[in-house]
Amino acid sequence: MQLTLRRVAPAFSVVAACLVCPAVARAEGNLTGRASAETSVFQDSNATTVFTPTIAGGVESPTSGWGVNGRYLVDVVSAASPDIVSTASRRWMEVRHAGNIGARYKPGNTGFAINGATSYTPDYLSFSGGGTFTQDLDEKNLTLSASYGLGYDRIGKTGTSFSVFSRDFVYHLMNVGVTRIVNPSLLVSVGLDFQVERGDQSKPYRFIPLFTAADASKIGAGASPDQVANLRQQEKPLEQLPLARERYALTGRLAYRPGKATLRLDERLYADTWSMKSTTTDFRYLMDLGDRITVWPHVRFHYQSAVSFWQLAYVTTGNGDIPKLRTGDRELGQLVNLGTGLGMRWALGARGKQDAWVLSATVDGVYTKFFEALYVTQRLSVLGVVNLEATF
Amino acid sequence: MMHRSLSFGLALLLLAVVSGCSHVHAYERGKLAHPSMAPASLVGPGEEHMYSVHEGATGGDTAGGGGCGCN
Repeated sequence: MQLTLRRVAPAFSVVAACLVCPAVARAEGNLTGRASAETSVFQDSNATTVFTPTIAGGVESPTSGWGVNGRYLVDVVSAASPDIVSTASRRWMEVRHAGNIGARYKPGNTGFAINGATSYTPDYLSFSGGGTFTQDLDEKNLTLSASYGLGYDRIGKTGTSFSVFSRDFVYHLMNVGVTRIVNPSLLVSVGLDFQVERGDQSKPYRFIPLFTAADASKIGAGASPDQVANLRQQEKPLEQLPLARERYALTGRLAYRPGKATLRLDERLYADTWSMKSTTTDFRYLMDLGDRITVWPHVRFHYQSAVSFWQLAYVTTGNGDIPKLRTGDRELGQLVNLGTGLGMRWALGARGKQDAWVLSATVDGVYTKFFEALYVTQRLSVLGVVNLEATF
Repeated sequence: MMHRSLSFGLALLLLAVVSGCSHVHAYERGKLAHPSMAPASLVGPGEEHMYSVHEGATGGDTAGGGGCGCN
């Protein structure tokens, strides 16, 4: 019981802060407070459902340049994917608690921000924190930023305490960015991310089927659990990923507002030391329909190559020679995602204070094509989000 | 090789960003102050979580401020 209280206490602290902050802001008069509640539902064609209620709040002083904020969410995940079915396991359900807090101070051209986050499931504990430095130049026409973050994850197994089984995973995040006002309608940003990961992030539940060379050639993309079970060798080791990874991302962002509509275009180029390369393009066109309503279509494209150790069917001679690196994580294989969606923002506040209450909703669908994976060759996902935000 | 390609790409983009810019005064930033022109990503936490699960890549929430010239 004590342990349970200790786990949920930070979450309650964030919730309390979210509820108290707007009240404090209103009492002070010269502060602005925000509180929001969001609910999202995710469903995919692999029988995975995620329900996520979120609350968030914050206070800022626009004149002094400081602000604090917090967020708390719960992920309720229910899954019965083909991977689970292939191990003769039943549908499982898991609850994840996650929270983050942040503070920023930017009285003039120079600013600092710090943040911390944590998340908990019975088999995964995560902590992270970081800071960002920003500097405005050229009368705020040019902004430079640099940030550093450190994360620590403890990976365990459900039903087994972390003291009996756990793996530590540490990562460092570094980012430098520049934002430039090109003209009164155009803003451009460029950023470079560098992430260093150390530790074993292999899934302790993911078993990898092995095949003889002859049988491996009979395994095609999307092979069924029955086909795999009939051809695989008896030996079925756990996933094993490399213990180190460096990841690089170069991102460009363009925001253009010539009139009553805004075009936003993001492009990310990514590469890492596991030999994965990817390109991601995100496009939104936000149109104002009067003073209160904004609607936007959204399109997202993502393509990635497989990691160097990816194989559809891992081969063994049956003499205990297991491939040193092996994975069944489809998101490490070659894939393409095509996403499209719609969003709406509706300002509900009284005239002159329209943004005091804002209701927004988005629906996004993603089609994924897996080029070389067991059990599944495609996936359809839908995410719906409704958010209500109040400003005091 | 990868480092060199990324550095080259970054240099090219920086060049494109800083060239051809006009000096925009505070009173000319009405459009830039619109919420849809925020320098940070407009992707919400739920959407971001979905992409982090569906995409093997990471990173991209670039930029830490600027735009409307507010604090």
